[in-house]
Amino acid sequence: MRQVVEFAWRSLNKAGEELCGDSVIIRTRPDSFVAVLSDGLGSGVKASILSTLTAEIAARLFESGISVEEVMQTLVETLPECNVRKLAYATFSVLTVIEGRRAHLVEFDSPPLIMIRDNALFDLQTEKREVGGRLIREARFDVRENDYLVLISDGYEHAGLGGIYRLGWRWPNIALAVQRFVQTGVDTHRLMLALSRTCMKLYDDKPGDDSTVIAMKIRPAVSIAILTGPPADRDLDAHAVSRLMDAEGCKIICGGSTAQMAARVLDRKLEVEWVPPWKRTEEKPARKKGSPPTALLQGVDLVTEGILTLGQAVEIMRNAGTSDDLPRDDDAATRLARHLLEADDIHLIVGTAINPNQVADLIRGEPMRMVYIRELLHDLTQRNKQVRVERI
Amino acid sequence: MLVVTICVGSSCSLRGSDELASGIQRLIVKEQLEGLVDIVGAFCMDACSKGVSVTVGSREFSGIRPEDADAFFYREIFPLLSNNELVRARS
Ligand code: FES
Repeated sequence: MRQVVEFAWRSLNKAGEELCGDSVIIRTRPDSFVAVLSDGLGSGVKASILSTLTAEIAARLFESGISVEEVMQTLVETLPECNVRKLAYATFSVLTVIEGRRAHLVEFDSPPLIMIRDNALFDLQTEKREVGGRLIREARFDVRENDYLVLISDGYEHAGLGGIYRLGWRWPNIALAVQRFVQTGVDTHRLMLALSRTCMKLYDDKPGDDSTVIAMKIRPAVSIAILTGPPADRDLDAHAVSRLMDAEGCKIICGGSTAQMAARVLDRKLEVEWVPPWKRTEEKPARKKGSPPTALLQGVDLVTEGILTLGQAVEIMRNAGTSDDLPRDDDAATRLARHLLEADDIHLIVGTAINPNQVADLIRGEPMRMVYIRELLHDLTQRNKQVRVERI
Repeated sequence: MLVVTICVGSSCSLRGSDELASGIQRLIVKEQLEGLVDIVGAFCMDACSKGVSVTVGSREFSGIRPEDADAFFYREIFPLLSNNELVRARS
């Protein structure tokens, strides 16, 4: 089973500053993950430029597997010098995770990584060394399912300074807070929110410094498979259905004729979820106007009619960062969008039959279905999800 | 039991599946035929038209508009039921 790094991050700007002096870059590929948090000297524009450059260079170089020495060298040579301080400087932490298992951490003057394993603070051994006159910490270690990893900028350590905490929130207290939140089994989005809200509160809503958190968690990849459209060749119906039923994870069918075809192949009943108007209650309200119907088919998690659902889901997802941003509705398109946003690996099984009854189905000689699938593909790859399209 | 399937697909539902279903149900109640007919929904029947697609038993119809509920009921549904022994016994 593929393991992935789930993540969520947020920066709080120093009160009164429009630009954040902290920069975050996260890149995910099928087998690698890189997160960089860089904090530029000072605040405002200059800090922002320094940290952006640092993060960008570090992400790119570490991803390509270049040594720490070379990365530091490149940074020193590239960063513009600060006129006042005669110093080109931005701290950084870089965490690389290969295949969701092998981690490599490099920290330069930044607060150490907080790592929680089995609900306890993990004592990560780092090697300190000097590189080009600068002290860095480095560690190579294996991560496991359910490990939580949190990177913070020093704005977190200073939160509450002089107020609730005389010396600021400080690393040990933050680590303790992370450990407590983690015990409730949160996902990274909630962990990030909890930390960022606490930080904001400690600063009394006026952060004295840019404060950034990246919350990460190692977990198995969530996969879903979607069958849409009957195959062009009827002899392949059974094959298409078995591709769906044999797929890992959650199973979805989009399309009325596809659903009927699957019901026939599986010899199971397709029950359309429609409550007659005279039987409707508050718990069973009418479907939203214009939203396609759904049906129950044993063994399949979601069955929706029509390619319209695909188009609507793409539309809904456009304004959502994560599934938490979706409306609470449970119409076909919102449910489909929720499945898509929560998945890491998406297998699209696309039948290429052309519906003879729907002439309007063809746009520039291409079935509407393919147009929607292309849009969907674009959106999902932008979200760093692994999408595989199989045409039958 | 006679099954009347109303298409509740994207096109038909915009053209009044709910209204047509309610109309037919009202007539079923009026004619005291409850329990003899089951009204269920279905996905697009690939017969999208200016009205709603409906099947009565195994016979397929399309283009039925909600305001045609009365005519449709007495032409296609009622005769099937009035032959029913139960109904005859009652009258
Ligand atoms: S939506 Fe009813 S036949 Fe197509």
